[in-house]
Amino acid sequence: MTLLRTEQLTLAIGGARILDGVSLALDRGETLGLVGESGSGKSMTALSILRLLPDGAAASGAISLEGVNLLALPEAEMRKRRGRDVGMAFQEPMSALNPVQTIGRQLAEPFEIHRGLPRREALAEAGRLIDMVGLKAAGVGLDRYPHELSGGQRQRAVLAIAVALEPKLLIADEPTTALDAAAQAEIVRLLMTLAEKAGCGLLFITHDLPLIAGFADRIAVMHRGRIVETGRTRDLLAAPAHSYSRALIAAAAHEPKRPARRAPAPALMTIQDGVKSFRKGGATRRALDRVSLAIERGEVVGLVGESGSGKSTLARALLALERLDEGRVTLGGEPFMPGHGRRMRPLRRRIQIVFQDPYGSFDPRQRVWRIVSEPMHLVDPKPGVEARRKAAADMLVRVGLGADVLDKYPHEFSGGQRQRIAIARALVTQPDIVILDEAVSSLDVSTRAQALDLLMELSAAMGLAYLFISHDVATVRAISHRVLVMKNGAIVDEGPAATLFETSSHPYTRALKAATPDLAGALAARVGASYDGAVEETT
Amino acid sequence: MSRSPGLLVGAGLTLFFALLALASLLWTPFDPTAFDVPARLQAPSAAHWFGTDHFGRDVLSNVMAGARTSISVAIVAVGLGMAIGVPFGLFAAAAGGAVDEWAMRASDIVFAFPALILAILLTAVLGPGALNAVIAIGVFNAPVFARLARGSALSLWRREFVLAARVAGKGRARISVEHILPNIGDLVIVQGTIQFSLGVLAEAGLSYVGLGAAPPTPSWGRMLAESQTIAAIAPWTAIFPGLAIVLCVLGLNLLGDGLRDAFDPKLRARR
Amino acid sequence: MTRAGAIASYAGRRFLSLALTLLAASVVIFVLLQIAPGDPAAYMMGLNADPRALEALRAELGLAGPPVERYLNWIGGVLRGDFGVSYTYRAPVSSLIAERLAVSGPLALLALALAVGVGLPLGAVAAARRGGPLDALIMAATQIGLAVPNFWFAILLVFVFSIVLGWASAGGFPGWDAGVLPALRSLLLPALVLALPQAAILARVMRSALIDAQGRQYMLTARAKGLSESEALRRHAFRNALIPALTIIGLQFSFLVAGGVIIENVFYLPGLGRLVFQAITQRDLIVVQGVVLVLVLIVVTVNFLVDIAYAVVDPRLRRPA
Repeated sequence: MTLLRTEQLTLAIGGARILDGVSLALDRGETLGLVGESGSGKSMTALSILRLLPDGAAASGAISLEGVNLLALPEAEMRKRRGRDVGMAFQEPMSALNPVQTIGRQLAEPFEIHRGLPRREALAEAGRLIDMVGLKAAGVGLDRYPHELSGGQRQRAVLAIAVALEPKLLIADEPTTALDAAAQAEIVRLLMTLAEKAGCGLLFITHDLPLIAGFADRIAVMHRGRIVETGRTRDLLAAPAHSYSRALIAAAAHEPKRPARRAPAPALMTIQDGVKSFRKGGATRRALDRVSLAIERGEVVGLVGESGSGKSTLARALLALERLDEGRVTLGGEPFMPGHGRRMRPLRRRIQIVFQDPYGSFDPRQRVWRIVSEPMHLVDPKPGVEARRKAAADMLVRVGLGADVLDKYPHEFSGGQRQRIAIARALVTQPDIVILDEAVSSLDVSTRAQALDLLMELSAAMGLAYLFISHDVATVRAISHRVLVMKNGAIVDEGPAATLFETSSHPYTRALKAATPDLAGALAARVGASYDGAVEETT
Repeated sequence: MSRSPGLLVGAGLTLFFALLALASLLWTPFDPTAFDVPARLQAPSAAHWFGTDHFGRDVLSNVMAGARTSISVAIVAVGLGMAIGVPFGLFAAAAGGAVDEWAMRASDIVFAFPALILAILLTAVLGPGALNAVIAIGVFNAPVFARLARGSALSLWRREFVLAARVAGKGRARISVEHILPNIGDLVIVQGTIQFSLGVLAEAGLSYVGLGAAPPTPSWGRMLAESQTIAAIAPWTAIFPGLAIVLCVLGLNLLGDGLRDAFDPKLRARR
Repeated sequence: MTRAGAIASYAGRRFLSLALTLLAASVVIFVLLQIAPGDPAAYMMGLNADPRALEALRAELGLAGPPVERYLNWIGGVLRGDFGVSYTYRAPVSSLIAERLAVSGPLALLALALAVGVGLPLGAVAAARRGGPLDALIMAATQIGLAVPNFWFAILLVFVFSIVLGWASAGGFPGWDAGVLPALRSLLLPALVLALPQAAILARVMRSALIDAQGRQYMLTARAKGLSESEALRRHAFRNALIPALTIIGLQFSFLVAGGVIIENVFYLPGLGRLVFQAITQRDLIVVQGVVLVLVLIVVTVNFLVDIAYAVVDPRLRRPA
C-alpha cells in the first residue's frame, strides 16, 4: 500500500490560494525530493500533511497515510499520529528547539507523550537517541541547552526528535539550508541512515536541486502551488518535460562566464600578515591569523570557508572598518586604515561592498535614489541632489533597472531587484574593487544565475576586481580566477580556480569539494544505479 | 487593521482632552478658583453640571482647567525626558564599548529612583510646585527613552545598511542622525504616548500628595485630595475628576497601542 | 560549570553592579539634600531661627567639616546601621525606619503577590483564548486597570467599604501585636489597590509574550511531536514567556514602592510613606535622607533578585558575559 498519498490537495489562507491541486505519492523506504523556489508552497504541503496549518487556512482534497484520510480525522486522532507515524524536522535548527529547555528534555518528550514513559525512562531513551545521531560522540550531553550547540549539532538534535519513535513517514523541510557545506553533507548522510534504519518514507523538501539529485529516488517539482512534474530523479533530470523544470535545471547547471584575464597586473589591494583577535567570554579568539593576500586589477578572487572562519572580518578589514591588531592593508599602493576621515576619503571611493541580505542592506526609510547615491558622499566636491539623482539613475539603468525606480522604497522590490540596487550602490563611485559578501546566496537559483551574469559582465566592462566571498564552492569555482580557502582565521590553501579543487592536497579543500553537490556529478554517479521500488507516478 | 477601533477611540479621547484644555484658556462656565460659599456642595444641576465643592467652586470648570495643568505638565515632562534620553541613548549606542556600559549604568541609577521618590527629594529641597513635578517626571522619563533609543539603535547598528553607510564614508554622528533616528522615530512616538499617559497619572499622584501644582492652580490630583473627606456627602467631587483622569489616560493608552499596531506591519516587513 | 555554579557566578557579577548602583544613589541623595540647598540646619529650623540654636543643630547634624568628610561619616554610619538621629522624633532614624518597614514591606510584598497571582494567569487565559470574547473582556479590563489612578481607586474603595457597606475599619493599622490576621486584613485593601495596575500590566505582557512564543518554530516542533495546543503552550511557551514577564516585574516594582508611599496616606497606614511626608512637612532632612536611601535599596534589591530569577529561567544568561 502506498504510504502517503495526497490527492488534489488545495489550500487557501485568507483568500489567497497557496496550494492548487497537489497530488503526491510516497512509499515506505522511498525518498521523494520536493523541489521548488521560495514561496512555491513546499513547506505548506508539509504542514498540511501534519495538519499544523496557520489560523485561517482551509485545506481540501485528501491526504491519506496508509489509507487513512488525515484531513477527515478528529484532532485527537491526528495528534496520536504526529510524532509517532509522521516525524518532521524543521529548517532553522536554532528556532526549532526550545531555547530554555535542555536537549534531553526535548528529546525525551516524544516518549513521554506517545509511550507514557515516566521522565527518567524517557531520558534514558533520549540518551539512546543522542548516541544514534552522533551527538554523544561529539561530547554533547542531555543536560546541554540549544545555544551551547553548533548549527550542525542542533540539526542533529532536531532530526533525533523527528525519528525518535521510528515514524513511518519522515518529513525534512530544508534541513541543511542554514548549514555550511561540510555540515550539510554530514546531515544528509545521517538523514539517509536514519530513514533507512526506520524503514520509513522520506519527504525531503529543498530548493537545492543538485543536493537532492544526489540521493532522492524521485523528484517532484513544485511551482506556484502546483506540482508541475514528477518523475524518477534520473529521468526527470535527463529529460525534463515541463518548461519550469527545464528552467530550474538549466539555472542550477548555469556557469556564468568569468571575465577574461589580461596579463598579470600590479597588485591593486593587499593585506599583509593581518591579525585580528576578539575577546569573548574571557577567551581570546583569533578571527584573522596572519592573513596575506593580493588582488590584481580586474581579477575575480574567490574566498571560501565555513561560517565563522573569519571571512567577514577579513572583508571589514579590507574596507578599513576594522582596525587590525597587526599587519596592514594597502589600496592602490597606499596604506588604507580606519579613521583618518579626510585622508582616507579618496581611497574609500575605490572600494565598495555588496552584502548578502537584500532586506537588511538598505535603510527602509530612504528612497532608492538616496540609497544608491549614498557613497557619493565620498566625492569631493560634494555633488548636489540633481547630480546624485543623475548618477543613481545612470547606474540603475546600467544594472538593468529603469530610472523610474528612483523614488521608490526598497520594500517595493523583489529579492533579485534589490540585489541589483545594491550592486548599483556599490558601483556609483566607479570603484576599482568590490567585495561580494555572500552577495547572491539568498537568491533563488534562476535569479542568482542572472545576478552572476550581470556581475561578470560589469567586471569585464569596467575592469572591476571582485573578492567573491561565499560558502558555495560550485559558484566560486565557476566565476573566480583564483580561489582562497579560509579556515579558523587563516588562509590554508590557494590556487587557480580551474584546478585547485581537483589537484589540491590540502584535506580541508578536498573535504569542501567532496561535500559540494553538483548536478552533473550527481547524475553521473546515478547512471546505472537501478531503482526497484514501486513506482507510483502522479501528475 | 490600521484603522482599529482602539486607535480611533484613543485619538478621539486624546483630542477631546486637548481641546478641553485649550478651551479652558478662553472660557470656563465659572471661574475655577472663585469661592461661592452659599452654593457649596451642590449636587450636579443645570447650572453646575458636575456640582460644586465645599467652597462652592464649580467642579466642571476645575476639571477643564485641571486638564490644562495635567496636560501641560505631562507634555513638558515627557518632552524633557525625550530631549535628554533619545540623544543620550543614540550617543551610547554609537560610542559602544566602555562609554556605552557606563552610560547605561548611569541610567540604571536614575531608574532606581521612582519618579515619586525623586519628587519627594526635590520637594524636600525646593518646596512643592508644578516645576518640581515637571523636573521629577522628566528626569524619570529620560532613562526610559535612553534605553529605548539605545536598544533599538544597537540592533540597527548591526544592520548592513549602517555598514553600507560606513563604507560610504559617513561618521557615527552622521549615521545616527541620518539612518538611526528616522528608523527609531515611530518607536519613540509610541513610547512617548505611553509615557505621556504615565505622566498624567504621575502629575495627579504628586498633586494628590501635595507635591505637584501649588494652590490655587487647578489640578485633578488636588481636587481628589480635597474631596477625600467629603466623598461621603458629595461623591461628585470625587467622581468627576477621577473619571477625567481615567478617560484621559485610557485615551492616551489606546492611542499608543493603536499607533504601535499601525506601525507594526511595516516594522515586520522590514525585517 | 554546573548549573548552580553558573548561576552563582552570574549572581556575583550582578551583585557588584548592585553595590555600585547603591553607592552612586547614596551620593546623589547626599548631594541633593545636604549640599545643594545651602544650610540644611537653617532650612530645618525655618526663617526666624535663633543663631545659637542653629549652631547647636549644625553640630548635632554633623554639618561641620568638608562635604566629603560629612558624606563618609554618613555612609559609614549607614553601613553600621546608624542612620543618624531624627530631629523631630528625637529617636534614631534606623529604629523609625525599621518600625515603619514592618508595615511597608509586607504591603509591597502582598501587592506583588496579588499582581503576579492575578496578572499572569489572566494573561495566559487571554493568550489561550486569543481573539475570543474572554480575551477581549480581559484586555478591556486591563486597559481600565492601567488608567485608574490607584489613589482614586483607594478613595472609592474606602467610600464603598466604610460608608456604603458599613465595614468599620477601611484604614488605619492595628499593629502586628494585635495579631497577624487583623494586621493582614488591614493591609489587604491597600495591597489590592496597589496590585491593580501591576496586574493589568503583567496580564498584558504575559499575553503578548505567550502569543509571541506561539509563533516560534519550537512550538511547531512541539506540535509535530504530538502535543496538543494547550500542552505545548504549558510545556514550552510558558517558560519562554516568563522572561519578558520577569523584566516587567522588576521594572514595575519601583512604581509599586512609589505607589505604596501614596496609598499609605489614603489608608492612614503608619509606613515609610507616611514617615517621609511627615518628615518633609517638619523639615526633618535626616529622616528624608534615610528613608529615600532605604526605598532605593529596596528597589535595587528586588531588581537584583529578578536578575537572578532570570538566570534560573533563561540558560542563555548563565554564560560569562
